[in-house]
Amino acid sequence: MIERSVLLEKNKAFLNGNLLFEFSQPDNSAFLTALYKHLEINYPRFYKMDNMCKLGFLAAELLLHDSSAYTGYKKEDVAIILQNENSCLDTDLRYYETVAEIASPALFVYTLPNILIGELCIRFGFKGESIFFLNKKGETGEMFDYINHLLENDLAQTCLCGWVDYLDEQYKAVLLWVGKNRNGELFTLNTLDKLYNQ
Amino acid sequence: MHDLKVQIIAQLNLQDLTPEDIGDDQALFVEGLGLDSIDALELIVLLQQQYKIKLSNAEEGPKVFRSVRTMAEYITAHQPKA
Repeated sequence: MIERSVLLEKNKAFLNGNLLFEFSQPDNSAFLTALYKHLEINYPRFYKMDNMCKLGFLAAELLLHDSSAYTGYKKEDVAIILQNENSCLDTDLRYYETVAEIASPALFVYTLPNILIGELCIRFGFKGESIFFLNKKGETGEMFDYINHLLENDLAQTCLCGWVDYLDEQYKAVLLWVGKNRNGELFTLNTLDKLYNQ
Repeated sequence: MHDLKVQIIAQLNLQDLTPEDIGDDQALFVEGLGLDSIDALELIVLLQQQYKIKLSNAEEGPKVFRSVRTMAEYITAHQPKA
């Protein structure tokens, strides 16, 4: 079952379909900092993250803000399964620009998409299975099957999963909390596609 | 030292801090500002970009980067003459 969902897109933040925050300025890159301040999070490491990690981090913060979502789950039983279509290209390009002079160590550490998973594990302490799929938009089947495989075979009891994509100030995050024992919307391929395209 | 603090804040993306928040003798790593190993590499880049100083001996690192004051002293002693 999909117990919770978050959407961050076009300077708006939704939790379970309800608008929680809207940034009125046209500057896409300032949206993430504005949302961070709005949520009153005290996590200085946020400023060191690249844009994709900031996006995924904030989506997860919204999704899990009251911690009741994962109360009762062992941290070892929480999987993180993510996907996007542009990998970490936004940071790769910025890093490549620095190589001509002095390569930036701070950018280099974000030149892998699964660094976002690491950031989420550090923040929430999750220790379960994790994988980051690179798929074209609309190709949700692979991730869907993998999540079902984990849940049906007791390899995880719940999954933090979804789409986190950021390139050239265009972004979208759809994060879901999918479990097998609680109430919510049925986790099907159709539901997943509907949430991705909302 | 104020300028150096401004540069450190910019280089390390310490956006929650102002130069006034960083003491001249405050430890930069672990119990002080809590910087990590990637920050150490960024401080080496800062020395090179801003002051044309290459830290040739890695073992000097902990002494040079102990505080803003020790960094400033190292820069003063090693900055190439114009």
